[in-house]
Amino acid sequence: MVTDEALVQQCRNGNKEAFAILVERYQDKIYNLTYRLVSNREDAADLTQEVFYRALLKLSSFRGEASFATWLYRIATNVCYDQIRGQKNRHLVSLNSAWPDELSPELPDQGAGPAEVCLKRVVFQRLQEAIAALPLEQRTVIVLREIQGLSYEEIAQVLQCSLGTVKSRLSRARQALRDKLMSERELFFAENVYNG
Amino acid sequence: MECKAVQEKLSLYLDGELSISDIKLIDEHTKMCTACREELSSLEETVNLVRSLEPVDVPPDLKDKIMERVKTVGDSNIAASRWQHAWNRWGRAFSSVAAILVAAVLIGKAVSGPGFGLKSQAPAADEALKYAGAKSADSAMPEEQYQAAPRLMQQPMSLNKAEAESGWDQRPTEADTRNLLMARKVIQTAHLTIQVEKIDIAADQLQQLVKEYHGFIQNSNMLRQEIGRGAHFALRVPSPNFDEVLIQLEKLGDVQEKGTTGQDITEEYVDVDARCRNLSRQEERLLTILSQASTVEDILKVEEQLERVRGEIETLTGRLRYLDNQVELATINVELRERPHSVTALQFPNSKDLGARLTQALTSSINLLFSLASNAVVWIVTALPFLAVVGIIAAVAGWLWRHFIRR
Ligand SMILES: [Zn+2]
Repeated sequence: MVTDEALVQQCRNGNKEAFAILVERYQDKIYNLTYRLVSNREDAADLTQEVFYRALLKLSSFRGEASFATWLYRIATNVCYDQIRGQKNRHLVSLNSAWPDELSPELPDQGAGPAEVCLKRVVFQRLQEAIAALPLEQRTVIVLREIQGLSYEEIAQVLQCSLGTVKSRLSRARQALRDKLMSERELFFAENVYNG
Repeated sequence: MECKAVQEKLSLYLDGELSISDIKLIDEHTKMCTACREELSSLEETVNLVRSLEPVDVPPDLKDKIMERVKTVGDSNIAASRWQHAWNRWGRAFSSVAAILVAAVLIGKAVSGPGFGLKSQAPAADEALKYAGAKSADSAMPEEQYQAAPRLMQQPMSLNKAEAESGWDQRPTEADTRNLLMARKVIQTAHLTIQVEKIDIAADQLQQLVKEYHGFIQNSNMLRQEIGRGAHFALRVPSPNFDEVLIQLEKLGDVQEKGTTGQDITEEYVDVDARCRNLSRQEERLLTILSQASTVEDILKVEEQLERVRGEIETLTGRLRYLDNQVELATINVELRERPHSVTALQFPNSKDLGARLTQALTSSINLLFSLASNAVVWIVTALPFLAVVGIIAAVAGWLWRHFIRR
């Protein structure tokens, strides 16, 4: 497989096909990252476009110090931060509407009974809400670590902070999230829910 | 360990980011302490729960939308890659324009004021060249400073626009695909021997030059040779400035030896990089195993493996750093030799030399003669009034002598 860095070089030489390959490689990850940060599918789609747009604009400044993925994540978190800070109120509203009609993607696919499926929907929806209710910085580390599966070093590169900061922020974020989930303990921590 | 200290480390414990001794302490503590055990299991459950979130599906038309959105990005924004490209494309153009300007200035001066001009104009010409150099060196600056550059870049970029556009919509050919794999990494080195008039002045100029092009002198030493003084410098300059620095160095004096080499280390680099990645994956696997290991014996075994893997990673990343450094900074070895003084030339006069000296001697004696003659003329002219007065007095005296004394 051709490396990201080689594709970047190819983009600079004017090969748009190379950029299309990069989009293909990363649109899933970026879309999921933005979705988990802003909790809205439409916004996530718009933000993903914005991320790639900015990436292409800034391609000349990508210097290969970090991997392309890390660099792209950095742009993505910045794009989300801009959006979230610019439109705080709107998002508070969307979070309060507890039953948006966008639950389908969280549907588990195994042949579980309808009651169980319904319960899982609720769990995932509430979980997403709990993540969304975390302070922005904590939410970001949780998403980068647990959902995107980045290493501590990669997170430090994305957020441009020290390893120590990542460690302590992640620790606090997990505790905060746990506390939120604990308030609905029977929903989240009942054995049959997430083991079944 | 106290409960608080333990609980602060639980998050790291879950990720296998703790030292083996901390892991043991936490294991022991959670066996005893119910509060911490519950804390640990609730955190673990939380983490597992979040990790069980399934990825959301990307809207099917997202890629098209993205490609539509990025259409508006001008080619100049992308094609202007790092300073390397910038340098290749317009730095060189800039400096050749500057060189032409310098030549024009020199010729103009030579024509308008023969004999003069050349010497007095040289520093200004140097300035122009240095300015060109400094401008292109600016593009070698990190992102922030780089942002200021686009205004300058647009002009040369638009020249390449047609070329870039034609390549833009083509599907990648086989050659393109091969090129994809070849962001070549090349170590550039050069050796230069230059004969200069004054070693101290040349060394100063060299230092100035290196500074201007954002390089540094890795080491230097003065040599004392029988024929004259000399000095050796090992210079490191950013690779994009390599060619320009060489051109500038050659201006320090007469180049007696010059050699450049480019060593392509892409293969080694790719190889080391791949091994490094493999080891990192191995490290991650080991960490996972470590977090699941239950007996101290297992933990110690895994820890031992980890140490070996980490040691290897360190060595390899060190090698990568070294290679990066070598690629990013070109090396130039410069040897300056002071020109032997004219005394040595006089000891072995050849006919040409003698003829020239005779001509010069003749010229200077003729010059002397002329100057004497002209001095004589000047003296005579200057003396004319006095001579006139003396003449009148003499005439009067003669007349008086004839009229009164003779009688
Ligand atoms: Zn305790």
